[in-house]
Amino acid sequence: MDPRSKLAAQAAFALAAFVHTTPRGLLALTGVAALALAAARLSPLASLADLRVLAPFLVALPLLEGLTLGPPWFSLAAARGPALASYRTLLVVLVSVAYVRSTPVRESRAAVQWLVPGRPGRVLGVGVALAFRNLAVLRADLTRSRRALRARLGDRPVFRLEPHAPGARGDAGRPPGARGGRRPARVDRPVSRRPENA
Amino acid sequence: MIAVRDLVHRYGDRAALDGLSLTVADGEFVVLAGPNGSGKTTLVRHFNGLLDPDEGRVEVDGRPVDEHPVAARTSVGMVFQDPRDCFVAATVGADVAFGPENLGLDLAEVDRRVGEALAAVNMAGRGDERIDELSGGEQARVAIAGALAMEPDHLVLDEPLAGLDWPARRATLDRLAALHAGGTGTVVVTHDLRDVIDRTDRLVVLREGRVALDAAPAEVDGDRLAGLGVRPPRGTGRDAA
Repeated sequence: MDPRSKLAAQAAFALAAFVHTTPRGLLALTGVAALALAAARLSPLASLADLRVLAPFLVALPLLEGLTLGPPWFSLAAARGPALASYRTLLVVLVSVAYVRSTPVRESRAAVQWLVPGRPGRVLGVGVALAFRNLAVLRADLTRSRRALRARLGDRPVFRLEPHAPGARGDAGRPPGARGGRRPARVDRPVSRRPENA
Repeated sequence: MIAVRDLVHRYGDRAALDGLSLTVADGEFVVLAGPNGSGKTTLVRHFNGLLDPDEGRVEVDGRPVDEHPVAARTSVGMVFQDPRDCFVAATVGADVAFGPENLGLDLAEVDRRVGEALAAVNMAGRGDERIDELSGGEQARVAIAGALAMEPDHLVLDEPLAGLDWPARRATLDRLAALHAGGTGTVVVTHDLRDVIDRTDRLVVLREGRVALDAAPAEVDGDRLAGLGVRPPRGTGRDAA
């Protein structure tokens, strides 16, 4: 599919999602979103897993709206509208995922420039291209940083090393003053607070 | 001791490690070699639980790594191929202190470890310098210091000589030899045996996710290495005779 057609379809879908807010309308749009994912050869479950960072916001909105200060403490009627809004937002994002995964960056850039003519379109196109490309770079950087943190225990509570029982860890053959001779045993035991310098 | 048993690790449908078994004793200097894609980096990342096995088991000092990741990461210090992948802070001292701080040590002990680790890599007194202003060789030394500050039993270095010029390679190897002499087991991952072959007790070559060769370097001839996809250093083992 031509990227311009994809953009138009995406915009039409978003418009429809905000017009047809009834459960029946959203059910039909769910089918359309599933078709979009299938066309992009994406697994719905994997796509939802990729969007898990959105989950707290999408869930929090209806929960907060439904809360009441007195009995019955939670109003389903009050939560219904925000719940439908959260769901339609999720559908729109899923269709966007299908677009992003199935469209090369340069084609997105060209489509945006076609959609918005002139200098604003060029600037927007450059912005879209940079954002899409940088997301992959940022993701790789994040993965590297997380690996570095994990390698030096930065992803866990602070742990204390238990005193080392001499000879218990095979230090007998080591030369005098070797590093192993004063090492504590390695025990996974969290401590209650970080050290003063942390 | 690091013990790997029947380890399988898959990336999608491809098995990077295919039922690999290996034991590394305390204090050993092991060179882990193999062509690109043979599973070297994947294997060492299992040593301290940075990856989870699809099948098999990894133990450090008799404890399963997946159940005792902190013990494993304290016992096995990891230095990644690109030193910049190791850093978590902007300055040398803050980065080297990161590991000991996460062990809940007091300030004096953290300072002692940082000082000793920096001295071990010839970077003493440079704790306040910014890492991004150091040369590549100096960054490699800081990365090693960050691992050493955990006082590991085993130091695992993934391609520690890549990108270094000859003096820096020589200096790095001399430091590793000194650490090994002090009792720290050392595992060096490399695809180039030229500089390390004379310094190791044991050469392990991986091929297609399995151990294809495990021997003392003196027992290995160049043709065998070449057949396993590893460039043989001149005058290696029986070739030298």
